[in-house]
Amino acid sequence: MSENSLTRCRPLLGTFVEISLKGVSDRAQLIAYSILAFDEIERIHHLLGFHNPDSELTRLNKKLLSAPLKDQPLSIDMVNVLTLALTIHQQSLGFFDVTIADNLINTKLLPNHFGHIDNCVGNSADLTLTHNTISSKSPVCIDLGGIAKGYAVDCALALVPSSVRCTINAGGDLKSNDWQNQWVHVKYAQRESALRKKKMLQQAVATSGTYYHDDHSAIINPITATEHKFKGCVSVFSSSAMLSDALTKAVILMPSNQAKKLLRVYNAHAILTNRFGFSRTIR
Amino acid sequence: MQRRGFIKGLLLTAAGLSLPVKVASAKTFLTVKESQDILFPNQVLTKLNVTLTEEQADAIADKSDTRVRNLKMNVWKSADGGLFIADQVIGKHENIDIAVGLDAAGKVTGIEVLTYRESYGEQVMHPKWRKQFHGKDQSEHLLLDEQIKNISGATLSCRHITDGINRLTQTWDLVLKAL
Repeated sequence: MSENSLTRCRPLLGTFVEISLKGVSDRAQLIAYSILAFDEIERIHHLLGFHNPDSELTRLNKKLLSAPLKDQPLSIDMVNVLTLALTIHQQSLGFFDVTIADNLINTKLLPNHFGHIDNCVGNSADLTLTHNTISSKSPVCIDLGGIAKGYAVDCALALVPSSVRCTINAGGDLKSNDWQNQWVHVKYAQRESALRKKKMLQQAVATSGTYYHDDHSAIINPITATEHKFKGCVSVFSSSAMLSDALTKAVILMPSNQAKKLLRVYNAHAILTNRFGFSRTIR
Repeated sequence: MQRRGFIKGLLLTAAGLSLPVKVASAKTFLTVKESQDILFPNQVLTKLNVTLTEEQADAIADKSDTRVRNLKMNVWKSADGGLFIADQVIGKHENIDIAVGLDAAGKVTGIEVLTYRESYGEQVMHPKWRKQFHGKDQSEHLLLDEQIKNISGATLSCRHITDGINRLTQTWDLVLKAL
């Protein structure tokens, strides 16, 4: 049987999700794998999406806003994402924090399903995960926009057999089971020619920048509770798209020496590309 | 020295102006035919001739809060009453050709991005774009420029697609369901 390939793109997770498949399978089989992967991304989108008023995240946020909350049961997907989010919060000395949804609601980058959000005084340090349940000491509002896209990519890729070469890209959060000798174009500014070709250093890469937002930045500094705008972008290569996705935000905000320590903990590489396309690697 | 610097500047400016201007970078995913096979597997689709009237376009724009750019629609009907629509969405940073599947009750069964372009307004001028929607050359991928495989950048919102889908479901409600 000859080698076939398929590339599909669907609007999911609030962005464009591309799935590329290549392998010695017939086209119908590749379509079936792509459906499997898209269905998984759609499932996580419905579970962890902030925009959806019926998602598990929205239901959890409603409860967290009336904290203190004790032993609220969570799905395994929510546990997976929050476990890494809380660990990186600790490792990054608070520069990565998922409890910044109230800031994004205030700048209208996220919808308000809750009415009053003025009481969000807590942060990730107030949250505890124990045996698939969450407890909170103070009211918080969680947005997983900085980590869940990567998680969806990891979960979807895990469903595709390794005999099929597959790359999944969800709005810049990209993972491939065939990353060796592959290249990725890092987009560092809004104009279409602002691309820099980089060799894939690990299985997954994620890039963050604020160049698509004219008015308000979606990157919030959790320590000062202010939005952070910068020119250029940060790309992080690591073993998982979820990890890369989360680390980009921490690396953008952290002082360089602290960012280096954090990247070393996770054996990750970061590439900072400025608005002129000049880049440097942090490791 | 000053004169030499001036000539150097002049030459550089001339070289900059003479550089070829990149027209558009495009990513092609599926052809219309391929997306029909995914959204309506093993079904025979019949092309319908649908041209909206100005009044219908105004009513759809009112209800969906989105401008109707093309009165002529590319619609196919399946035996079970479902509709396949090939359409275009123009956003702030991108032009996107999409395919949408609707069931007999007007519910969206699937959305596929067919082609994605980052520059503005090129596609309307491009004859190949129109051609692929008229069933003449459905097997041919639209290639405007070299395809770049993997791009990792800041997350681009797909809000314009959501607006486009809303416009199409309103079009179904006002016009297409009666077909």
